[in-house]
Amino acid sequence: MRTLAAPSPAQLMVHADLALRSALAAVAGTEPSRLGRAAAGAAYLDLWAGDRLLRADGGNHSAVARFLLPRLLMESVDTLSVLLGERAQRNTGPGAAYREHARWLHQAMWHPDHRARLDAVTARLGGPPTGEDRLARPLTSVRPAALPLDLHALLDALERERRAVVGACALAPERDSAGNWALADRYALLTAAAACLDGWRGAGRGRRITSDRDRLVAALSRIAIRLGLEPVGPDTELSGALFGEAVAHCRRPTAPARTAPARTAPVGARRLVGA
Amino acid sequence: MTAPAVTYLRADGPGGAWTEAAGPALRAGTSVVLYASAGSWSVPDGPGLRALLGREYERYRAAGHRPAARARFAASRRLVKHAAAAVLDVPADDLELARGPAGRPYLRGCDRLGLSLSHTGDLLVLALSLHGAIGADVEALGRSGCRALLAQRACTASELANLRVLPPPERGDAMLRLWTLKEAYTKALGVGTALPFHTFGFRVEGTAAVLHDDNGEPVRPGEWTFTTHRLGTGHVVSTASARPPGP
Repeated sequence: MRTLAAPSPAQLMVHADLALRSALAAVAGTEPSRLGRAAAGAAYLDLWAGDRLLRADGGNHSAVARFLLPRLLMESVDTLSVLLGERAQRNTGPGAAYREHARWLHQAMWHPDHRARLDAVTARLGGPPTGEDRLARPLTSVRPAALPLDLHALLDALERERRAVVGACALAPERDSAGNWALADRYALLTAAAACLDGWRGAGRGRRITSDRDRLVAALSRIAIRLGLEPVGPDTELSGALFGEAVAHCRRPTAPARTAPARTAPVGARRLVGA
Repeated sequence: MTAPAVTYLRADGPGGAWTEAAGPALRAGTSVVLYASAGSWSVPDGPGLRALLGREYERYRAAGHRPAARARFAASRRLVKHAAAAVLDVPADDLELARGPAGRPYLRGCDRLGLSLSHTGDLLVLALSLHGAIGADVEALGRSGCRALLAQRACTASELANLRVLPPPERGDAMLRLWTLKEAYTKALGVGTALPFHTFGFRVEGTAAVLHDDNGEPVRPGEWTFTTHRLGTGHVVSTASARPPGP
């Protein structure tokens, strides 16, 4: 059987974006449940984190993005089925469009190039991060006292994790070992966390500082959960608070959505985003 | 209807024939369901368990007031890591079990090996797949699964109608099959009970099942495959496997 080419990280972002838009279009005019709102907020947060990572780490060439985004986006897009409820099973309309995009994320997750994507990250772990590697320096240079308490505690935990990963890399583990695969996963998650922080420092001045901070805390908290660290609070509450942001995001046509390849963006979904 | 391929292997403890059979079956494209008594995977608290659980050791310790739950937790992790180690040909202690924000488990860095854990009583079930997301659930047959209130809450109108036409003695096990299918599906999606069970349904045909919407209409074929199987232990185990889009 012919194997489809692995979608690029940007294509995965398009699928996740259109999945979120389809899900919100399906429930337009209704009052979603608390868990449904959290699911939309979570999908938006992971989409945002993915966007930060692509901008900071070399776009489609980012080994970390190629490795991490399939699972990151698949997880939160699957969770959107909670927002959709019975609409998730419809064979036509936004529910069907949502499922189609979710399936493409599954296809990327289990694509035969999975091993190559992992190897591209483990290749970076032969020694402590140096030079341009984002994990060579602390996650933030902001003084702890200048940070809100919730962000301070979270960054403390993430920074300890960064130092642990740097230390593990310095031990130059055997490249093809399960321990090194796990290290690659932690390295990738921390690189995404750093990208979120770097973006925030730039955008955090001026307007909407509070909502920017909420978004950052919630996105980092989801990364912390994936790292096995304590989250700032229940993910459903943190993500649910971002529901309005998710809706606002989907009211805007985005650049990746406008440039979605025709074969990956069904007509219904393209109409949803005004493409 | 042809039942999708699932290989069922009894896996009571490390070693044994199952370790040789699981990897080839997975690489041949089938899903694998391992089932075992929790007792056969028991492991005492100590340095060995700490090494095995890694970061999950604190979760294990947190269940200290429930010894049975703690023992099952340790046994299930031991089963997962030894099974994955057999498939991936790596040491079990090197593997790390992680969770996504919604609770979906994955092996850190080895997430292409999809997995789903379930238990009832002393029976552990682990479903594995190298080809897509998988969910599994197990229940003991003969449980009074057809309580009217539970069925009303968990079933679609179409499922309720199908249950009503069955002879009363068969309804309990039929309801258990539906329940395990629903659990398996929501686990494969990584959403657990956050997705209300009455929003989707199943029509069971032999050992296969077809996903339906809440109006009783079949969902597009080819997106998922579902199986429901009676184990020789007196349990029913159901699986949900995602089928990615093909060329």
